[in-house]
Amino acid sequence: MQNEIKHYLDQFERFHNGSAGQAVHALRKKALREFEQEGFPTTRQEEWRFTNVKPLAQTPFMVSGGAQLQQPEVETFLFPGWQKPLIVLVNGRFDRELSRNWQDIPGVDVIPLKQVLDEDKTLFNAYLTKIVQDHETVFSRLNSAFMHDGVCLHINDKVRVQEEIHIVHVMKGGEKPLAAYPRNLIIAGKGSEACLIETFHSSGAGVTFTDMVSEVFVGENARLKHYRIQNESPEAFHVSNTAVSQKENSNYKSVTFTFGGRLVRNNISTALNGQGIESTLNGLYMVRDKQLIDNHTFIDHARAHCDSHELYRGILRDSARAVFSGKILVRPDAQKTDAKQSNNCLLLSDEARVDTKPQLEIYADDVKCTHGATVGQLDEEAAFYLRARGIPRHKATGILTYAFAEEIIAAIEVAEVRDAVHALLADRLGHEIDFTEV
Amino acid sequence: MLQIKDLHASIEGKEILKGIDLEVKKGEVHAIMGPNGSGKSTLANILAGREEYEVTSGSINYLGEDLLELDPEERAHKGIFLAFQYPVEIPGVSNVYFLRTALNEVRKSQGLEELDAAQFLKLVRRKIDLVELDKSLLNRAVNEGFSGGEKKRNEIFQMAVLEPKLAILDETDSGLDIDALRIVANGVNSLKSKDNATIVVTHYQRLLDYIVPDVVHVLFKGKIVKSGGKELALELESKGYDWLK
Ligand SMILES: Nc1ncnc2c1ncn2[C@@H]1O[C@H](COP(=O)(O)OP(=O)(O)O)[C@@H](O)[C@H]1O
Ligand SMILES: [Mg+2]
Repeated sequence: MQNEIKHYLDQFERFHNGSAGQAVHALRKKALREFEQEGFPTTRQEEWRFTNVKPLAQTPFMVSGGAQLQQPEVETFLFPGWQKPLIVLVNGRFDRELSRNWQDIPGVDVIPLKQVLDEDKTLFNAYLTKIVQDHETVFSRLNSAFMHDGVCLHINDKVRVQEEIHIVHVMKGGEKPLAAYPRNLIIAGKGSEACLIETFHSSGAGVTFTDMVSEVFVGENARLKHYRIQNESPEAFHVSNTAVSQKENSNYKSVTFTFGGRLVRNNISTALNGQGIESTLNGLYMVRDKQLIDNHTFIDHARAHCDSHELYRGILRDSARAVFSGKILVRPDAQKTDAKQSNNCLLLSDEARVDTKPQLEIYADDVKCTHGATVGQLDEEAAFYLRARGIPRHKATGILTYAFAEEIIAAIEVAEVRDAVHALLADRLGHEIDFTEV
Repeated sequence: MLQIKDLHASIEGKEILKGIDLEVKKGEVHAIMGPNGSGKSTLANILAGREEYEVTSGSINYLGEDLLELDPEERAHKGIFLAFQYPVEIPGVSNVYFLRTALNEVRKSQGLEELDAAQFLKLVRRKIDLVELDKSLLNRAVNEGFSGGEKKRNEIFQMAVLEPKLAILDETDSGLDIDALRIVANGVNSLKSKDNATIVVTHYQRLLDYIVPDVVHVLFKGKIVKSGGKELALELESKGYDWLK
């Protein structure tokens, strides 16, 4: 373990030697020290019981420098005909050449995060690390130690952003294992409304590691939708740490789709810091071969009269593995909390495995909290019904799998996201099904 | 068309069918009657290819082929249709999509062109009136939240669209009121031709007032204990099954 830590200390010396302003550097150094003390987690730690990060920890990832990407390749990652705002990050760095329609979104300041770190004292002091600091993990610390660039979206008060904003994250591999540490700051001002779509892709071959932190601030009466589609290569390691802070009467909805990656861990924590808040955390994943996908959610009901909804569904093939841990904390002040959590998994093979762990900690007495978890195989009754009407076995499996996922997909307002997810599902099922008309 | 010879079948080691012999010719309607638990659904499901049942001996020949060698979907392609006693609900899959996929699979297997959405809708409009099924059910998920009667009519509607050669109706009449019964029977009768055949499983004789069978069989404890003309159904109605023991 010592060597693994030392590798990152060396990387830090090489990468950050003499760079950046004092304030950032102090944060980075502090984070690095904490990382050094804590080290990589082992499966003896409760939060990592089912997810062994050894393969990640033992790979000597180099911090990626700026990587070049050609326009035609970027096009392959876009939704068909996308003319709305587009922000492209390559290996964690904001790419001004490839991004478009981002500088003139009415009421939205899009700022490369590097600029915030180097120049923008106001945003820096008000927000950076302020949200994630209550939800740190060793990986968010590692991100803080190496943070360098990313995207800052500042939606001004009362602005309703008409067009969805697409952020494309591309991770380009190299001869050596490469790591990127994108850092995002999303600020939805009072009474604002916006929809954000993030997609994650790999370019070329090579082992990669993305360790991302997104700090999301949802102001009073603001509504923010946040969709993510992870479709990196089977060689990609990916840890995302999303920390959300919500104010009075705000509404945050996150839907995390995971299809790609060798080991993916999504940590999402939302703190409901006001009354009348609604928070939705949904997720859908379909994994195969030896992929491991781990979703950890934490909802902190700090105040009264808030609703949270969680629905995670997973489809596993081959010897894929999945972990779901959903923690809900209802603090003594959070009377009239309504929290629903449900996690369902569909196993399409005998070798696939799922570990789920709901954790409800309730310290208020007038609350409604429900949770349910199911793990099951394909409904053979239904499969026989379809086959008896002439639909071949593989197609019946596809249709039923699709139906299983549909509750989550149908609730998405953006047609491009729905279509993209349908296409990925069809692809992972390994045959042609046109789901658009199901 | 269909010859069943000395069919024995069991589930979980328990023998349910104990030597069934049955021959159905083109153009015929056969009724299979018998008390609950006698094995009627077992027989119907084995014909459709349900894999939980183990056929321990005997044979089934359908249009010159060994039926037991075929997968359920292949049987459907070759014209076998089972109207389920308990139609399955499939949340998330619309009725139209389901049925168009099914029809196109059957058509593909027969070397016919697949129908596009518009062509299919035209066909559906003609067929749906036959069973007086509410059109709004087409866009709902398969059988989800359908009433008992709607489920049964949906089965007959599917049959009307798929135009099978051998239809097996497993208690399609149970739970239906007289009007619904008449609708279902009309549906079945209008699809009748000299080239196809129907097996009607029921334990009431009232359906047979509308669908007139050529032969009536009584299935009792896994065996056909009596066969006869349509008057046998009436006899069963008045005497019950006890006299057959
Ligand atoms: N899946 C099953 N598992 C165990 N026993 C079954 C199963 N299906 C049917 N049986 C048994 O087989 C017998 C015949 O059932 P069934 O064919 O449904 O009769 P019927 O349709 O004539 O009422 C009954 O005793 C029933 O309990
Ligand atoms: Mg029955």
